[in-house]
Amino acid sequence: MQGLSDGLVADQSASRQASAATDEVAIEMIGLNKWFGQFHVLRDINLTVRRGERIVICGPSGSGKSTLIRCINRLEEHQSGRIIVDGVELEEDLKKIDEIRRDVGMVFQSFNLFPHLTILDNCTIAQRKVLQRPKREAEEVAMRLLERVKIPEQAMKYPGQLSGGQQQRVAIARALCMEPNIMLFDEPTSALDPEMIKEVLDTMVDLASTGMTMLCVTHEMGFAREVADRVIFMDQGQIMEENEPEAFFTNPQSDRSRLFLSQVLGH
Amino acid sequence: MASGDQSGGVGFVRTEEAPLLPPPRNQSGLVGWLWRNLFQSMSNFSTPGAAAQSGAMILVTVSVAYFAYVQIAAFLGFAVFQAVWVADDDAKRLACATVAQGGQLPREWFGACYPFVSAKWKFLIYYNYPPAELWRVNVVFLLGALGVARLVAEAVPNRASVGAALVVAGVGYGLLVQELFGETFGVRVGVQMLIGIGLLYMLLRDRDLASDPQQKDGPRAPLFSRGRDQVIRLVLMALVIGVAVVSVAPAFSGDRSVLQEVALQTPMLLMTGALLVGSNRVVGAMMLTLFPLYALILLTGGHFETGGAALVVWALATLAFLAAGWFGRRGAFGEVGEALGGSAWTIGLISAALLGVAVVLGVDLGLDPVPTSSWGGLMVTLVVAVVGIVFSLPLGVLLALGRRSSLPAVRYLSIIFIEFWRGVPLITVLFMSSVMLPLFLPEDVDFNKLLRALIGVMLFAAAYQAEVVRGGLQAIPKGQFEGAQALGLGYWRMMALIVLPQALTLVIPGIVNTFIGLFKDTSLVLIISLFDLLGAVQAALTDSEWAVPVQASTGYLIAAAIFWIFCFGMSRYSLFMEQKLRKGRAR
Repeated sequence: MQGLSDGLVADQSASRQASAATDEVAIEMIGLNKWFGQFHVLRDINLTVRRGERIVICGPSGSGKSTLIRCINRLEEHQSGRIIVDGVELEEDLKKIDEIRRDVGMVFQSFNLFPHLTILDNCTIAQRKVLQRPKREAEEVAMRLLERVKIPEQAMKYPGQLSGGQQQRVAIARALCMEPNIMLFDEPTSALDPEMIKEVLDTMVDLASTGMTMLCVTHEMGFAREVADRVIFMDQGQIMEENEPEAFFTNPQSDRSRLFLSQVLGH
Repeated sequence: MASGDQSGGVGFVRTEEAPLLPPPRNQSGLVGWLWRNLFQSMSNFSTPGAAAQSGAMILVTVSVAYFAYVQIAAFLGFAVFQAVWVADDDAKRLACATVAQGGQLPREWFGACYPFVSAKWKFLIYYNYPPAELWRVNVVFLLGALGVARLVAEAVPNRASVGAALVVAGVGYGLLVQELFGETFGVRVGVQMLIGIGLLYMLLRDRDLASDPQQKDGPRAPLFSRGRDQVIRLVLMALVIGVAVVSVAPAFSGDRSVLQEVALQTPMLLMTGALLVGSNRVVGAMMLTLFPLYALILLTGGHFETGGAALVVWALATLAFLAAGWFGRRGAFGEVGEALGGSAWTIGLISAALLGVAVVLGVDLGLDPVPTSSWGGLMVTLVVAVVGIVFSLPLGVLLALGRRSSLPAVRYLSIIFIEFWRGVPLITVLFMSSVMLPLFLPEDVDFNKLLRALIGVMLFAAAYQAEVVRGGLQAIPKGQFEGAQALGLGYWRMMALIVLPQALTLVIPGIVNTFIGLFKDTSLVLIISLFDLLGAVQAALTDSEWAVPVQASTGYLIAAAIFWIFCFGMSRYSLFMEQKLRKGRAR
């Protein structure tokens, strides 16, 4: 993880983004539990995310961080506890799930672009079918966001013709086209070549500066330092530590997070 | 890891680019291909062992080539070189008889007897369909063939050339029909194509071309250039009105009233027009809605009476559903109404559409009824195959989705259905539908035999199709489902827009395989005494006026050739579609 330690060193002097967090609650999780079969994958999670807050979730693999954010838009179903997203409680009702999914954008580790559609169609299909936007308007929105992620010239290509970094930026633009209030990032840079990590992180930093509520599962500690309001460290399905990034990196409290940080930053 | 320090003299730095060279000579071109595929394996004589191997290879190659030559030569000898192509009308069997059989041909002669085929071709294609009504079958054939051609010839760079080709084909066909049957109707078909161009050009062109997504890919030659549009429009309109009058005029002398004639010709007019200038979407919609209905009416004669009382009850029920849906969705019946309103509205709409179809089918268009017992030949083969193909794919997709559903009832019903239909032979299905089903039905319910066979073939093919499609669904990564869900696409939209397009593309070879199997399986309807192409050939063979030894070989050769043309066409089309759809998977 070369970019990681370099970034951390460089960023110690860089100015941090000012927090855009407000007092309004965006996501609330109360006593959340989830099992995969017999395996207790999320244990008593209590978390409140305020509107405009940027949260980085880190932890060793298998610690439940991806599962946690996938519960927020019901890609995973929780078995007990409550999740309230923008005042809507997540439950069996399909309508409420749809409502929440419209409000929450998600970016995946493996991009999950639709390979049979052009970049432009990838960005417009949900706008047209879910938000019922007319084609022209949807295309305008899509082009505006593709410009924001700096790849408007690729609009007519297919995902397979783009590099990994470009694909991930398209995935970010695609999610933003739906004008979500909350963005979830599930290890957005883990599948990328080192040369491409930066362009995706730059896009995310740019997005953070607009005041978007963001939850990022990532190992990019430089990114965490630069934009996060809070770092959440998870291990074995529990939240082990929760702190401001500066305090978390310089003075981790639990043994487990000290060990994790020493392994992530140690080389 | 921090970047390493590579210092000192051990490193290597390239100072000039390595040259780009052409491939070695024997790797490319015809010579290279021949060398690699034919001669390389038999050219090594360096050691005794290798020489023995090469010698064996030469032996195998020569004998395979010899057997291939013998077979092909024998086939071509029968089908082409020795064949009798033309003969006098009254020569009949003598045209293909050897000296020993009382004819002119040498004793050892063995070749195809094509005069037999040309004497019987109407029978092979239309079977016992009344000769005076053959134009109805022809119109259905023509519209169907043109519709398929339009949908197949997708993404043609130049619409004008396609239009021109279709006009030539249409007029040519019209003239052919007139030549063969001496009907003015053939000319009318050609003329109506012109009307169609005019009408739909005016109605569709601007909007259609503007919204055609393929326009984005680059400029295409428009049907007419913009500057001349107004003049052309006026001329076309005059032409349309003039020709419309001329084309309806013959009706006054016929058995049909003017209204009946207009009702009969309007759909034809609309369809020919849509075929010429409509976008693929328009043509596709037409081929799936208007065309089947029209074909049904033309082929059978229409005039299916649904009892008046039944229609009234049906209409009332439809209205009730629509009203419940309309008010329910607006909250008139509280939350329950809101939840069920959408479904009630959908059911109401479907019911209304079916009611419309029932009413249309009940209209008397002045066509003589032709019972399906006199259908046969290629016509029945095509009807069974096309209906089976068109219905089995959507049904198969639904079954495949059902089998992967998380709802246990839907899943088990799908599994039971698929495993039942895959577990019984088609012959059993057809036999049951023909012999057993009537035993279970009330005596006065007469369920058409062809319709029963159609349903049997359709359900049978759907079960196979379902498993093919399921294979495709399983190949789609989970991330595609999640990506679609995260964007807020519901189940049906996710499937229709994201998953199925990819899954179906993957399994095109399997789908077409099933189609081809279905097409050939249609000959099994023979066992319930429906006479498809093969059945018609066999029936024609019983004609003693043509009783010569080569009669059967010729008949089966023709049947095989026709089946082969259709199946090979499907096979090529599937390859073409695969290549076209592969673009999304570039890299």
